[in-house]
Amino acid sequence: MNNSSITMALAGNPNAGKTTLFNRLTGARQHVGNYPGITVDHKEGYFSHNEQDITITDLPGTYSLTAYSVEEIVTRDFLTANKPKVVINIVDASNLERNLYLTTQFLEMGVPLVIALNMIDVAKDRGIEVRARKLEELLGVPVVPIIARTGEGTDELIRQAIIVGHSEEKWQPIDISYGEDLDKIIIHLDSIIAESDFLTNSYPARFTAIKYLEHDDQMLPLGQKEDSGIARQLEQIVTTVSDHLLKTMDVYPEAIIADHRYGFIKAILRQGVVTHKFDTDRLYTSDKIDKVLTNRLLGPVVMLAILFTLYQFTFSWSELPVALMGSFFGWLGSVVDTLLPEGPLKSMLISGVIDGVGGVLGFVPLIMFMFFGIAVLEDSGYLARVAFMMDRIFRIFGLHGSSVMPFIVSGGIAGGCAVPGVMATRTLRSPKERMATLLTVPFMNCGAKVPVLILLIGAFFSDHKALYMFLFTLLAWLVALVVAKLLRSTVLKGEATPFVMELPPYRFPTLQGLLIHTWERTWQYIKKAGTVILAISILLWALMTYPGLPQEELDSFAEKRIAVTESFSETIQLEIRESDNHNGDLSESALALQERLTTIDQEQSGARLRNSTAGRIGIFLEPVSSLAGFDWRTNIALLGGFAAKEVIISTLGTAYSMGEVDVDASDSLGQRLVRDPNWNSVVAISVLIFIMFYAPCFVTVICIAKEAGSWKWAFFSMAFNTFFAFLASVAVFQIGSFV
Amino acid sequence: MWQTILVITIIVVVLLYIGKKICRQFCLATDPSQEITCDCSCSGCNEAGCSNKNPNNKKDI
Amino acid sequence: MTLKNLNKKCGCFAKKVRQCTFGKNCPNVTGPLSETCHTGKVKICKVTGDRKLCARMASLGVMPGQEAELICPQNNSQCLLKVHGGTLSLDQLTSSNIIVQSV
Repeated sequence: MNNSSITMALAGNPNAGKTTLFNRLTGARQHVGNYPGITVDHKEGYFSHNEQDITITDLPGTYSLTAYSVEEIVTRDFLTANKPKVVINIVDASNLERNLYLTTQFLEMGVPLVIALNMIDVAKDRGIEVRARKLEELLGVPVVPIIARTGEGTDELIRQAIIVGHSEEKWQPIDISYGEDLDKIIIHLDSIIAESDFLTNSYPARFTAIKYLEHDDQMLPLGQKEDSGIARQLEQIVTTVSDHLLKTMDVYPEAIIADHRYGFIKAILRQGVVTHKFDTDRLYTSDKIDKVLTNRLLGPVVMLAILFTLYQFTFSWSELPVALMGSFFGWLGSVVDTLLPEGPLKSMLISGVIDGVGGVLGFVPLIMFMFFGIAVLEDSGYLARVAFMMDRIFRIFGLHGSSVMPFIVSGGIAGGCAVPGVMATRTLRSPKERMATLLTVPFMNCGAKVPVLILLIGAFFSDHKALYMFLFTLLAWLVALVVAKLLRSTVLKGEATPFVMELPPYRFPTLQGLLIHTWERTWQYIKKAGTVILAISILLWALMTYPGLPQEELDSFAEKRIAVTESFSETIQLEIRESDNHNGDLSESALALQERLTTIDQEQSGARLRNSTAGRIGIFLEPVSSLAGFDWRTNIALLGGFAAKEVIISTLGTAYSMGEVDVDASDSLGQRLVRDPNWNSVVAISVLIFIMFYAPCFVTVICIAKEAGSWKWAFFSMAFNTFFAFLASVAVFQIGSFV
Repeated sequence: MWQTILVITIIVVVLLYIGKKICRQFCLATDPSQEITCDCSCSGCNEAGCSNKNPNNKKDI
Repeated sequence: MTLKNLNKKCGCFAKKVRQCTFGKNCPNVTGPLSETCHTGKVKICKVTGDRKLCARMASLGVMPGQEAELICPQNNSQCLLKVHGGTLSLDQLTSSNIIVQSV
């Protein structure tokens, strides 16, 4: 790295626009949703401005620098450990009072600060005028108005940040008064801390004193570790003060500190920093919408209606493009069939690549529409309201309000991914609630499961696709919640913890933003299909092809062919040879011969698939899997699904295309399944339930192990989910078959 | 014959690719400093916004 | 079920619906936020509960003496509270610890 590179950190409240600015500056393509908690860990990016190399870190959104949540701990640790040259504090201009609360703590910590006054356009629309110059003058740090979404003002922001970054001044904390009584105590604590050099390498003495008064969860053990004698002395003073305040005023010191901070902010804002064109007490449109959309009765009804509309929109609009994609891959298969001579390469290209990956890529239009709909919900701020409404239900099942976002990210509205969902559980502080969430988020219908659901629903329940998709989504939620309740009542028993979340205001999504988000996610899907899924499809094709049939069996099929052919007259044989498989011109007898030959070909490919490695594994599992109605080919697909859920569809495509030789005449995978005697609507539901709930994919399992800090839970998740899914499938199949 | 040789070559490449992917996942599981969503390998990340520093990854504004 | 019982049940449900959708007929009393059944301005009198919750609430601006606006009252459940320009979603556990008075 360049030695002259400046390190910057982006910090601010959740939803102030940190990640938007980060992406704009670095060109990173991490998705920014309009709900809190999207950045759990800090992310680093690099860019240059006027030949100045800059390393920038996107810190998680926080309201304060006291260790109340994991985001606050991550932010504070980063600032003390990495000491960035400049901290860019993004504040939402339309909500200055709340946002400046964090700023006061940066000022108290003394970090070199530049304030990015974001969303000045939104503030203006709300009739709020912010005088950046005045604010700059009063706070003593540069304040730059910006609009992160459009990039307006970002050049000036970085220019100011570089100037601050280059100034070699030491961190200069400012003092805020906390009232006569507390100030005296702070000065006393400050002197003890400064004299004994207690934690002064990491924090200014006054900052440490305030954190002691705030009873900071992280600072107290840190102090004990540094010097237990001094720590005890400080704790004793603080306890005496706390007890006194509790007795006389019925409050803890931290409430008084917060009150004074807000007082400090109000005092600044009243000095002509902010002017309101409208009545400050008025409710904004956002609040008015909330009165209806989060209403106890209307809210859930509207939520279900919105979700159902999303599915309806997805299915109706994507029907034609999906059919076109299907025809395209069918055409591609026939082109390869015509161009290449018989051999393993042709088989691999048609059965492995085109039928496998094509099956996954065929759903791209549908996935795109689904992602577009989800992006609208996210960017408008509605998803945060869904989290708010679901919180009540989550409580009943022993989960926390913060569990809702991981569920949604994992595919709560179908189309997410369990990996970021598992990682998003970091926002949960209670280990038991976190573990329960961690183990149940893989039940959601992630983007990889969606095509399988659509394929089977489309094939077996084509009349009510959207309704069935909606019902299966509800089923995923229900099962996840019931399992969570089961875990919370047995292995993960424990008290519920409080949940507080700030709801972002409703924002009108921009078309550009929606298209970018939709494309980013769709591109991820296409990229995965073209790389990992392609590789696994080829590998599974090899497992489904080798070892081939022994020579004796091949000879026996060849003999059968000769025998059948010879049973017809020379003229018919000649007609078949000359027709080059064009059925239209054949006589009735020639057609009969051709049909018998095709049957032998099918028998041979069926026998070859059974004899292959994958086939043998599938057949080996069949005695057990048949209880749930799965045949050996489905077993192969389900095993492949452990690598990645998309593989299920590609493997089914390969397995069912290898059983049939004539690519030209072959239908779509859905139609093939409908025609297959082993499949019917009961089997389809049984398979769907198994796919929805069995072991999470390989990457998710590793992620669970990483997040849970133990492989024990990862294995538990695999074994428990598979066992549960199998039991459910057996029940559905047996009851369904009986009825 | 040429088809068999080509298919075997493709399968070998695929095996190496999948092997690398599996190795990466285990690296991520053991090294929490790397981001699982980024395109990282055990030797570092190649995407802007990912944890491991890589000076090649920059953009002019 | 007798007709009387049914009437009672329906009446109770209707009352709940009225409270949920309109809920304007509540007395002006001091009580937990979770039991405040009307939208509009409230004054925070006290934040009870454990120390950490009080501190977290204070940092979000929910502290004694502060005026706030109840956007979505949810009897004995979570609610939406507008304070210091931000909209907070509070669960039942938290809102039952915030004692407010209607303004």
